[in-house]
Amino acid sequence: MLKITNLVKAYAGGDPKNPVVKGIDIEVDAGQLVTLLGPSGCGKTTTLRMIAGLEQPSFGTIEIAGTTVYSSAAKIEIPPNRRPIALVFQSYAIWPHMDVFHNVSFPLESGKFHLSRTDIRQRTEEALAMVDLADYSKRSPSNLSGGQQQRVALARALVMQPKILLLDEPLSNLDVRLRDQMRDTIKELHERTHLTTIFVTHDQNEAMALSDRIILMNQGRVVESGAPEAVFQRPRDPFTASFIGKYNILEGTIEDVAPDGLMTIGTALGKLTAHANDSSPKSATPAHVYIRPGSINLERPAPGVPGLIGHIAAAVYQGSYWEMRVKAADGTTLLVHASLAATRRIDPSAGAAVLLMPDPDEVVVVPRLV
Amino acid sequence: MTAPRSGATADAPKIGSGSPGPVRMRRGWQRLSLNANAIILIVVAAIVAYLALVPLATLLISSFQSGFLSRSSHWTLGNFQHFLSSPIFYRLLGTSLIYAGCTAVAATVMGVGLGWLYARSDMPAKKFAFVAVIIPFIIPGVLYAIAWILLCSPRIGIYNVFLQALTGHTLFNIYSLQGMILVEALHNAPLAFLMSISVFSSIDASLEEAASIAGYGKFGVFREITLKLAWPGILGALLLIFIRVISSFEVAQLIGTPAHIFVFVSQIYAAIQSFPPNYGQASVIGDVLLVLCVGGLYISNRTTRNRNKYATITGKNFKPGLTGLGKWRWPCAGIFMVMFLTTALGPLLAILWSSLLPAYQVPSMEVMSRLTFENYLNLFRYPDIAQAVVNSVVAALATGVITMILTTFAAYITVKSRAPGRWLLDLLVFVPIAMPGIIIGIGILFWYLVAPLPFSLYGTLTLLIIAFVTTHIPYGMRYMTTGMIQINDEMEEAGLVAGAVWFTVFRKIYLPLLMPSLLAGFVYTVITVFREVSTAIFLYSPNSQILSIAVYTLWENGAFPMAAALGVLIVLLVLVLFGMIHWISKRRGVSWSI
Repeated sequence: MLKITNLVKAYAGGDPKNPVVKGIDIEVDAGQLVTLLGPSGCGKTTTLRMIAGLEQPSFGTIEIAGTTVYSSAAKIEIPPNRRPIALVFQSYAIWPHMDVFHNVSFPLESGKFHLSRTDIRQRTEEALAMVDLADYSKRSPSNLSGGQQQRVALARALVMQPKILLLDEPLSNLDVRLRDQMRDTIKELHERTHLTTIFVTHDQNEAMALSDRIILMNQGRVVESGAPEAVFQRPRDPFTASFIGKYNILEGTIEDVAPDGLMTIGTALGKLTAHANDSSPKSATPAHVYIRPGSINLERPAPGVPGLIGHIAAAVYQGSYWEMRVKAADGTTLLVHASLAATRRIDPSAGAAVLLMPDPDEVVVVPRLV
Repeated sequence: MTAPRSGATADAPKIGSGSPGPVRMRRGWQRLSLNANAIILIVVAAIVAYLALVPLATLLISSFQSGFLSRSSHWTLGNFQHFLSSPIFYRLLGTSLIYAGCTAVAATVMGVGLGWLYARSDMPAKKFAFVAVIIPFIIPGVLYAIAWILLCSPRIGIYNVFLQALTGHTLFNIYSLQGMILVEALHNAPLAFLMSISVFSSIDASLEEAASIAGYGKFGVFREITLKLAWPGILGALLLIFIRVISSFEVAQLIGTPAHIFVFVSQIYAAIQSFPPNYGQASVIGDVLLVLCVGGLYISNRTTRNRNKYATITGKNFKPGLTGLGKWRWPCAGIFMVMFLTTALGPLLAILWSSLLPAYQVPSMEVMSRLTFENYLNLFRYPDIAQAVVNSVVAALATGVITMILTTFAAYITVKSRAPGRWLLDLLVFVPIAMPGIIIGIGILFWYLVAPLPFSLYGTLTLLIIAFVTTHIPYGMRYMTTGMIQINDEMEEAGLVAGAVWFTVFRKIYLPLLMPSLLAGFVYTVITVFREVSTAIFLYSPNSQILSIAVYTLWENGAFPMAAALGVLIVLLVLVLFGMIHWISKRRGVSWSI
């Protein structure tokens, strides 16, 4: 449905050697809800705006539903008003001089759709009903709450029956409770319409909850993409590990692979055990080792029992868990989310010694390319 | 004093008396600051009321008097009956409305078009474009009118003579209604330009992008979104220019009167200059002007209120979107170049040229040899001119200081205090905005002719300063309220908690923080006093003549080259002042509006 090839965007006046978007390739299948996730400034919104046609790429091609809408080589650039897309803006961009009904019917009146007056009315009312705003059609947008404005923006996008729906951080201006509610609305609408949707966000929880696939971006590049579970549980790139899971990132070497798939990895911290997954690792390979803060168990150190010993540097109570910084023998500081049960077993005060026991099933080992 | 805990010390019962210490102290502060507020409110309100309402009342009363200033005067509707039943009035009304209406429309269309290009397109050379459009605004009205006479008068106008030589036809006769409209429209277009820039750049670009996504092309987006969102602001600019034009003196008198085209303002002038002065007619026209201005202002306020409703919805991540002009980028920049050459550089050069000649002549190689600085030297030989320089400087500084002091206190009361009755002050300070300079001028003239004062102020510089302060109060307020709003209430509270009395807080906290707004407002006032003619034209005497009036009288007496030389000096002076205001606003981050 969407195919982006080697897309580059450098701003005039910006550093030509460091473009905002540095040659990305993205492919999205019909009916998917895909998230562009990344920290602010990573180029995700710029990418979305290039898909919409609001921003002119410097290089590359964009294909929507089999039609090339932009190609630097073929010198094709279709303006936004003739692309089969709809966009929900972060600011909602509700026109203040039109009532709710006209905000939604406006795209149908552009002449692009060749609809009769009654068809326009009917489709507008349907769209409003879809977002539960049927009774609000005569209201002025300035009297609407943020959540209601958001839904007007959604209705305005849906009424166009686009091939691709683009959502630019649509939840970031809402308060926490509304955000969860809107997130469910979007999920529900997607399940009902199966509209190909691209959702830009910097919030990994939104991305996890909504998407079929996450495309993680950083500094103008696609870092990694995959299903939410895969990206979260088996990150490949160190950036993914730190951005999505707050993983502790270590460097190590695979020292030994046992026949049952259990590996021994040597790190500065000491020896770690991990389950080998999909790839078949070879010994003596350098590797990234990712350990999620929540997958490290803490025990009271007993004399004579071997293991990684650390000292608690700081402990902050977070409600359902304690967030601790534990300093290992070699000076590395690890982030640990200790369960309440674990903190009952140990002495959780600063300076106390603890035994660190990472869960072998959750230690992620990614062989490094040399 | 430390707050005693009840029962902790022996004297607690005496102080306590039911209410704990801290609350008592806070009440004490409130009472103190309330007193200061009340005193300021009363004093400032009294001064502003005197300045604004007395001339207004005098003007209104005089229009209902059979013989204003004469002993046997009595109440009558005769002035209205007499004047409103004569065909002269309707001709005046028609001409004035056509003149001001056409000018306002022309200036607004021009200003809005250029403003859109400047604020919302990817046109090149924007810094130049801004300067090019603004220059006519910097040139005082008297000079701008004179410059266009030098350019487009039928026989000696430079543009006309050159075109005659080239094509055999003259371009334009300035002494016509079209001529008046042309000059006033060009002079006011920068105002519409500035206002529309602020309107266009306050429109969230995502509103336009959303329309583009919704299927509208560039023109559709402009028509359906940009223009409709900007409309209240544009209408506001149109009405403001209408009010300014219908009550401004320079073009009406310098171009209209020689062409026998009379409008309200020039008729008032003629009525008062006639012998014996026809005060009845002047005051009736004044009333009519007042009604027109109040009406215009009322409509303008209503539309801006709607605009505020619009303004509540803008995106959080605001960025100005620029429309790509494509191959029209440079032609559009060319429009600004043409504007610069014909409406800014042309008039300035025309004045400069005639200031360098002993007697006016159309530019040619042969005349070049006769260029001289004699006119400039002559300026300093005339004691009248030297006096005018002193008067202008004194009037400008005094007006600036008095206006800013008054408006600083007034803004404090209306923005920061909770004094009861502050709405009255809020209302009073904006009364003069409905009273154009010319009306304040007549009102003050009439009042000080009849006022039972132990000393006569008639014809003194003091009277001019009183008039200028009155006209400038609303503008000073605009600077000071913006400045006040930017200061967090907690600044004052922190000062009070730190133990300072109210006046110390005002001096040590408010004044330093307000300094940028104060300076900007002060310089703005000084600049406009240097250009002012309409307010002063009825109030000056030979002893209290100021520079802008001196240019006018020199011109009326036929001393064109000297008028031009004086004009050049004024332009230089005003440019220096504008440089100052620009520097201040850039350094201190104050926005200044006209």
